[in-house]
Amino acid sequence: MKFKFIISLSCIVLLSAFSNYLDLAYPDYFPEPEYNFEENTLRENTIQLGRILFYDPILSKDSSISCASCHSPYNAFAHTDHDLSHGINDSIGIRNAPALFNLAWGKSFMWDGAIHNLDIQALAPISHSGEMGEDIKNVVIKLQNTQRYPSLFEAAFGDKKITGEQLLKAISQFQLTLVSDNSKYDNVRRNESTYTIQEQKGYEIYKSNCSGCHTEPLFTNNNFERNGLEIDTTLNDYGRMKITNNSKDSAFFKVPSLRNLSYSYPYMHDGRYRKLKDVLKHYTSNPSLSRGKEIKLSSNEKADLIAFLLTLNDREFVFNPKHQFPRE
Amino acid sequence: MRLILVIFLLSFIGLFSQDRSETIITFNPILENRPIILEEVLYYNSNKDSLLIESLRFYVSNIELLNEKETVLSLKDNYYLIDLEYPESLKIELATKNNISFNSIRFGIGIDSITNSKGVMGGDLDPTKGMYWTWQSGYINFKLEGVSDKCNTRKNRFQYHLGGYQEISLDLPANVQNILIDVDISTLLNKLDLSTTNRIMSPSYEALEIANFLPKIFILNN
Repeated sequence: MKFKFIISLSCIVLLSAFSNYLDLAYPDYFPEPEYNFEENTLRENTIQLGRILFYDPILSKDSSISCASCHSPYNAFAHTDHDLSHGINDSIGIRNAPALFNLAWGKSFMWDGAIHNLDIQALAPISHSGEMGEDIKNVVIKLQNTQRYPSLFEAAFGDKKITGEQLLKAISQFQLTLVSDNSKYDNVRRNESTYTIQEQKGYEIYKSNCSGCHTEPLFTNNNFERNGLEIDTTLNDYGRMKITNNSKDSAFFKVPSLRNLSYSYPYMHDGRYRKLKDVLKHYTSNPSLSRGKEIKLSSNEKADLIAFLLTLNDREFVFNPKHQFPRE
Repeated sequence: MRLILVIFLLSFIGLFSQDRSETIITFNPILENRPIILEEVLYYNSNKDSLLIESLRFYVSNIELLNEKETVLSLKDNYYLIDLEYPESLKIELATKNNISFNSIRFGIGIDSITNSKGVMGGDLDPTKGMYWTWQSGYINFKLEGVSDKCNTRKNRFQYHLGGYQEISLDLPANVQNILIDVDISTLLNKLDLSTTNRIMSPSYEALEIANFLPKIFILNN
């Protein structure tokens, strides 16, 4: 009898420990996520730990830079007004800090796809001398020696002893919850809103000129493409070629999503354009594109296209308090 | 009730304690025929070139014992970080059945591409072990760092971080219990010229070419 009681008690304890798993919420017109949630199941405590880490400069060598330094929530997690990323000791990188959202659908990360899995991604900025300049081993030691982190890791992973694997998985979990699916475009898809005549015209222009690379509903094909930008000789960044060592990949970069454009300027991998109209000017000047035909647009058509592109702004995402600095 | 439980437990333990023995693989890092001691000046080759090794680490994975080319024990998905700084890591203990016989061993140096393409992992694969290329995802399979007068670099340092998963097969004497494998760094240093090649830190073609040479430095010493 006593034995039975112990068994049922331990079953209850086990169940309660595993029952707070969360599923990532996303609209039915989104594809299946690429991320393997079986390897890192979402849990509220782990997401919150990841959020706290994301905003904590303890990850950098001199405790001056956090992830959010270059990935601010109000800019759809990009670094508005900064063409190139910043790091410790006032270092300047060679690329524009990309906006962070819908990462569960990413097949590779960084402008050149150097990183194949989101869990590993944070290692790059943590270790890079021009970004956080820290050794992950040291980050773990620093976290272990704080008052708050051992118990936060215990709540998230069931153990006060912190490992690099847990640290990276927690940061991943927070970033996975950054789903942008509440723009006007999404409302129209869900029949909750309708486009203006101008937006509808812009949508048609988008579909015949832009959708090959910036494919719905994520507005990226998650591929590498050449958009015909001249190489900036002060940076000499050849993008994907550095990873594949294949000259065919010269000047190929990851296609960024068009969502949240108003929040995430400046544009392009090196942040060279501050205005959407400069971007359209580039694409209509017959650059050497890896895909699609020459894009010709009248000034009215450009205005229509911009009207559509602005429907991709997701204000609710950008101002979602769940994504912001954890004040509590 | 309690007695039944005790009997049950005892028979359970009994199930696992029978017919078990251990085969131990020991890696023995050497320079020519002398053991390598970290942070100590060592001499090698006929010119009596000197060097000091600060770090020697590599992954051993997918260990298999074979009998006449048939696998009799397979440890797929097991990864061991061999680190000269931690002598206990030089030994890998394999639980084998008493009655199995084998006459060769196969293992990988490094992390195979399938495992490499997974996300972050723990244990010996935890990224805090300093065996991960942070700017281009992938495990460093073999790491050798040190100082040599031949290196015209800052503080005469050399750093080899090699990628490229390598498989190694070695024939064994019949039913050996302790497999002793020498890892002769001098073979690698005779292939690499420290005066010209002193930094390999990315998964480049050069790194791959040298990685292809790695199996030659693992020699059975039974």
